[in-house]
Amino acid sequence: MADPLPSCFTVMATGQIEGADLNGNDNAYCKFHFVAGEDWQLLDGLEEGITQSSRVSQGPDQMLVWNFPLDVTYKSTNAYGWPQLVVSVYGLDYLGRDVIKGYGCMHIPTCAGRHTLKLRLFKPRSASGLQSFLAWLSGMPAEFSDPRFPSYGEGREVTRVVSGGHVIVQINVMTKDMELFGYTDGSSRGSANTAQGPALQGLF
Amino acid sequence: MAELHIIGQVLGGSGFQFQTLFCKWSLVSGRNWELLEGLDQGQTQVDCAPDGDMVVWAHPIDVHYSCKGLTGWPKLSFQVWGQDVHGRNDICGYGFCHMPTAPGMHELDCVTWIPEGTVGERLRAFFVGGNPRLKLEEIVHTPGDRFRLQTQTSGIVHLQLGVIMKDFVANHVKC
Repeated sequence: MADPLPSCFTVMATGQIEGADLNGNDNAYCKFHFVAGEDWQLLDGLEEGITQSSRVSQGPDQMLVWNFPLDVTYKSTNAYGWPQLVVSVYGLDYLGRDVIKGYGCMHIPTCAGRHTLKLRLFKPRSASGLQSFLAWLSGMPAEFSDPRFPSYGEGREVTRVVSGGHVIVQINVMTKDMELFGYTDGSSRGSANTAQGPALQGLF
Repeated sequence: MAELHIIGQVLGGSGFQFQTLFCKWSLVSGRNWELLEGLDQGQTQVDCAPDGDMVVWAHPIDVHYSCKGLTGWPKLSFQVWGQDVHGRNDICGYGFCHMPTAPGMHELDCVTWIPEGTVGERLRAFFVGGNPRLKLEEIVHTPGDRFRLQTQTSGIVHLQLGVIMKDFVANHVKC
């Protein structure tokens, strides 16, 4: 007697928000959100959170380290709406007020394995020189009203941003029952962390 | 009936003549392919990057296709536009690339080009702005007669894509 087919497949992502390089900016923290489609349901883990505030190291390497654990498990019936990680990095300005340093977004890798993600940061640009001066003075630079906005595909064309800095995230992805749904995610071949494309060994 | 998921990002662009850029992208596929879920075209944010750094768009792509045949495999066609200090948009590059036919994570660097005009047009574009644009934008992604078109190399668009295939193996497709 065969086992009944599972009703959904599971994707587990574990890892850490390692840290950020903010071009010399000191004393920053990071808020993160996992955003997934309608067919996806969170089974375990925190979908959003805030890291601690950290300062850059004393040495020449200007890396800000958070080492914040990430651990989420989703179940789904459809690969559309694959989870994305959205980060918002905030720092303190000269008067100690929280100002946005940048937003970043990336999909969780679709291939099981260990991956290092580099989320490049960008933040909204003020409409004019006067507005950016007032924002600097008041400590209220332009921010996205919805922190999940960088994960949306629509409505991005009207935003003007300035980019700088990046966040490094280490992620380990494991999937269960995807083959039973007929999915091939490419993790059984070559290396999962590709720079030039998948390794096509053993095909011919 | 097999299905294809493309899940990833248009990361950004580098090597273009401007450092304030946005990208209009669209997915083009043949008659055998039907878009089930997701947006098959879009326009990224306008990013202003410091000199030497990559312009960051970080635009998510999440599409779900169903296919009845292999021909007409989806390709991504882009137009990269630059914005100058006065807010005028000017074409900076045309390019296309096929979606990877193997499942897994891929990092793609797609090259782009722009049409080059006559000497007079280039002089005018240098002083006043206004690079020549294509009248028929299909020639960017369709093989056809481009013989009389003179182009100039432009920058590179960086993509990071994850490809998940469903039922390709069951349909005896090796990929």
